[in-house]
Amino acid sequence: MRTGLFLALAAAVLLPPWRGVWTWGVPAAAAMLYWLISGAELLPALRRSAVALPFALLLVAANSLSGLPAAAPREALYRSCAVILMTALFFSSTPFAELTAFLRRLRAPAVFVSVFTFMYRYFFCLREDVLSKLKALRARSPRRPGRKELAALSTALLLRSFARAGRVKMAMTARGWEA
Amino acid sequence: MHIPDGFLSPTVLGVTGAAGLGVFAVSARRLRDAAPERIPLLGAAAAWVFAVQLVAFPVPGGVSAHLNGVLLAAVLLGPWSAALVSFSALLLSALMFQHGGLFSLGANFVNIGVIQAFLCAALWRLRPAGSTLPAAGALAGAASGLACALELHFSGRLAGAAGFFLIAGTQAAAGLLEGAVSASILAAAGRLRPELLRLERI
Repeated sequence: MRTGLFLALAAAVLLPPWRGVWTWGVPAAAAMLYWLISGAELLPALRRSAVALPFALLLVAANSLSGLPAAAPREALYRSCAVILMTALFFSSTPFAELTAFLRRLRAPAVFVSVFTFMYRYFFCLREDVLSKLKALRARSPRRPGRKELAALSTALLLRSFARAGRVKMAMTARGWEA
Repeated sequence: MHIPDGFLSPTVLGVTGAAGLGVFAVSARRLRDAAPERIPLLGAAAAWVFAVQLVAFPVPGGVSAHLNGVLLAAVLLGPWSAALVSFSALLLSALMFQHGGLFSLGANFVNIGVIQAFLCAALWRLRPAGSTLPAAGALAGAASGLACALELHFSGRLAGAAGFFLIAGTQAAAGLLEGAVSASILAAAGRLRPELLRLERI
């Protein structure tokens, strides 16, 4: 229900060719409506809504290199910011189990749903590893870590991640899990 | 390069969505009958692909770039596995960090998960050596950037050859960096856990 409503509102913002005042009116109204429905915190989601800006600037630069008018793609930005805001509100107010249940209802392949769930679980363990290792690297030297150090960090992460996969597989098989 | 929602036309979204869905369905079917231990392995690879994006590599000019991990996943696990891993990482990235978008997921999957994974896996098959990876990364990056530029062009957002060169060029440079870093990761991983290089490639 929650996922369906979010997707329907996002489609209404993204797909029709809105003109005139509707260009910004529809995205703003949809984002406002979804905020009221979701009940999620607005400020963190608002901060995220600017992530499309660098992409828009790249397009401006690419077009101006070809001698075309360097106007910002405003209509795309309105749509993009509204949908990004709605996505941030949606993700912060929807339990992950509800997302995987939605994927199963859509009849997404079981192998994909399993990989997606495993990825979500492992990510938080790896994230802690990444952040603590980056902190340790920065603490050891006043200069920014170089490519060599960061490649070593990425290797350690890869090895840990695969070792964890082996341990989890053994633990799950012992509990009777079948893929 | 992740295209956010809002920049592609409904036609381009439909075409790339259908193409991406087709590859996704075939990869899921190919992996369905794989050994059960492959699922935690793919999950771990996907989590690594996702987590390694938090590591910002310094690039000359004061900016930074991150790995997308697909190159290494294609070499270690094979192209269909890399495609599934990439799809999972792109979906979670769109939801959690709003990098890319849910509606542009098909386009991003075609650009990153399909073009890069299959091109790198094909080049690795021709010449399975660490020195292949930088060239494979640059080529895959350029192809991926070109596909991205074409999608934007057909959506009416990009015109002119210079824009195509800018996008394909930056992606090729990012791919070259990714290839060079992946080669050093592969060499180190091969020394410490040689069994990782002998995984079944699907």
